[in-house]
Amino acid sequence: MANAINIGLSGLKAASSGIATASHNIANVGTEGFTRQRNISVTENPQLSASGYWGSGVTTGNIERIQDSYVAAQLQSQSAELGRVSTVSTMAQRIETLVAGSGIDAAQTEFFNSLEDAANNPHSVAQSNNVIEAGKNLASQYNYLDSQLDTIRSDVNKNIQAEVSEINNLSQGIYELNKQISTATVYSSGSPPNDLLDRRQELIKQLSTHVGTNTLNRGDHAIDVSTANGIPLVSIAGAHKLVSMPSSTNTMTQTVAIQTNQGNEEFSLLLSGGNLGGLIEFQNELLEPTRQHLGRSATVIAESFNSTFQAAVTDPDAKLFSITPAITHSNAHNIGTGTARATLLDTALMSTSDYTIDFDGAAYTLTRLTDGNSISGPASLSMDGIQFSVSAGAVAGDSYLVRPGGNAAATLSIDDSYAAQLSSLQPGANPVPVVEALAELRNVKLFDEQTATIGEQFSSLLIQVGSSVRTAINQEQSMQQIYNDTTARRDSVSGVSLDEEAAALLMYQRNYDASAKAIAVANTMFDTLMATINRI
Amino acid sequence: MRVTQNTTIRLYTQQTQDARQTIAKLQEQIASGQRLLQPSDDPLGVGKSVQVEQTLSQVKQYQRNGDFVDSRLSMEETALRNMTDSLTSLREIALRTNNDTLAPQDHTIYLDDLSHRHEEMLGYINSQGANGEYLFSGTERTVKPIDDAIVYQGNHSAQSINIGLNSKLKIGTPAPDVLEFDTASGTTDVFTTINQLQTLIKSASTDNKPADFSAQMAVLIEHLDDAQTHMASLQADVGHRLARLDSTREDNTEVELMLNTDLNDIKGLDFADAITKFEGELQALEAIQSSYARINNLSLFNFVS
Repeated sequence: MANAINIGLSGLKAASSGIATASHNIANVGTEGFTRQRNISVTENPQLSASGYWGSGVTTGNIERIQDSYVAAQLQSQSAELGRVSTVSTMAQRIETLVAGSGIDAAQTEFFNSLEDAANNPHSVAQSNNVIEAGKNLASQYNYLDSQLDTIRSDVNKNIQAEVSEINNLSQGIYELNKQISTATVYSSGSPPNDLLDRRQELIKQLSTHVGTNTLNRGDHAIDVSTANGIPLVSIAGAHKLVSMPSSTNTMTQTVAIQTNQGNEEFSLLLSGGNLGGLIEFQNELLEPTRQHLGRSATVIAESFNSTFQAAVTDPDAKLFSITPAITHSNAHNIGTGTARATLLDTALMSTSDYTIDFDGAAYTLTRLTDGNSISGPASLSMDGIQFSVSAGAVAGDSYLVRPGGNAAATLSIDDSYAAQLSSLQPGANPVPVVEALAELRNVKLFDEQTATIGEQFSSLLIQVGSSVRTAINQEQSMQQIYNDTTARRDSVSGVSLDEEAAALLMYQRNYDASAKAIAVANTMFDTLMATINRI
Repeated sequence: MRVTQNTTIRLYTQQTQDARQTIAKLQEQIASGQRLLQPSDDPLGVGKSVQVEQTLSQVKQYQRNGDFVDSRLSMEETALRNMTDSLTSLREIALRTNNDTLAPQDHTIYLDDLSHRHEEMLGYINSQGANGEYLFSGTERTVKPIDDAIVYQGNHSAQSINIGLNSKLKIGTPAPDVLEFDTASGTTDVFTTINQLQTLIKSASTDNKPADFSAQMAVLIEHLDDAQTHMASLQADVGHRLARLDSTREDNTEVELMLNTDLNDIKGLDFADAITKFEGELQALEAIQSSYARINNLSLFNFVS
């Protein structure tokens, strides 16, 4: 009878522990990353009697998380991919809105129209003022779009800093949880600290939305985390801090580095996945190319108009537009004193790429960054209609970044001193009136090895940006779908179903009632026995 | 598949979000009447439409250029007609003075008339357009073509103006091309002829009237005839150019129409289609919302007391 009471008690305990687990599940129905838990009940060891083994009740063997570790791993890598594509898509759409809404195309057309009007009346002051105003408007449209792109560039830099600090916080959080989980597992002699495991898994998933990650289970229940390309973030030694800093090749852009004994080591080009990977990809593959495209346009427009103008008025100094020349950056790590220079030889051959020049002590290597094509030779090399040169003083290992488009789009402007004389300018050796010669440039193929006019190359920029955005949106949509499907699988396996928990509550409640009844029966039996004994 | 609370909530959120995005896009399309709102909607289509718009604007400019060419050619035509009229008057003077019964002093009256015609001719060849530009000085249009010494001051180029896609028209003829003409005895020009006429009539107004006056006058009359033939051919040429302008402008109108149709094909919205889709999406969204509300009410807890 005492045995029956103990068995009943074990039932009561198991039932109330089941109710506790169900309540815990219900309480966390909306907790992000929560994995539903289940009591694993096992029978108590039976007791041997003369008639054989008697059952001695139930005990809660373990509380386990219901999860599919394959789905968890998928979510980790898909979070990184979704983070990357959604960042690229969001940022790309900002550029698209700017480029599509830009007044450049209309301003170019207006400028040419004003030149034709002026060509009809080449000596009319009113008409040439019109040309100057249209030219100023064209220049300011370039300036405006470039300044808007520059705002995006500084937003990208700020976002990179924010991402890095978020990554550092999450790494620290994962490191702390690693320690707690190891201790808790030792303390419980091996029972898993379910809720801590959930929290760590959720942090790893969050970290993956910021940067692509790899994880490795260590023996002591801790997990090592590194970026997808193997830069350690969390190890037994602690959380390793990333730093964001101006790039040594181009101080205008932000790069990501890890602190080493030799100082900060930049590795942003190796980053892949997550918001951070997306930002760097966007910066290198869409933002900078778009700016280079604009810079090239501004350069070619200024150079072409100026050279036509010079020929028409036979004045080698005559200028209609002003721009700043190509920009060169010496790498911050350069030891030598050499500086790079770029001279434009042929505008029609200009590409939209940036270039690097590397010196190995003997030869210089000039690389076109968009496709990696390179040539080697002396300190003066030419490619794509540009003469690149490095002045004396370069030391092996020095490198330079050359941006032929430079700040041309930002600085394009009408040169007032000459423009003001437009109506009074007499044609020089060339009998075609100045404005007529300028108006002719509308249909001259000035770009891409003489295959595109000014108007055509702007529409090619639109097509280029539009296609990139189209691809980014498609990738984002399909990745979002994949991620949603995986999340649905996770919800299906690990999510809490309130109906199930209600049923479990009912079951455990019945279980509790019945166990209590068993104790009551045993108690009654005990009373009956005592009464019988008392009567004797 | 096991359906949990999160499954239902996420599904609802995604479905309503998708529906709202589609509705917003359709609404924007309907409001703007444009199928393509961003380059990414159809990169090549948007690129093409930008080029079509550039061409449209260029064609509009051609039409404006055409207005200008029209007015310039008309002025040129008027000037040429006036010169032809002057030549007719000169011919009449030549015929009248070529009369043996005329007394020497009678010639003086014609000399006056002659110098009027000379001034008139000078005025016509130095005609100016609406903005004070000279019609017959080549491309140097601020320069008076024929100065008082009857020397040409302009250049020998003609201005070419775009009046259509790949179509240019010359306006303005340099004065020498207007004035010079061929005769049986070589090339001469209108002012030389007037001058010769003047010299000959002057000689007749004195007692030294040359014996071969009639013969000389006959040659000059012949020259005046040649000059008129020359003017007529210039007028015909201007007429041809005006005709070409007219047909090019008609072509431009057709091109404009075609480009607008192209543009509409690329970017324009099929309203009936868009509105049907819009209605459909609205209904779908309402269905998603009401079905979610019903699913959400289903819970075992409702039945446990």
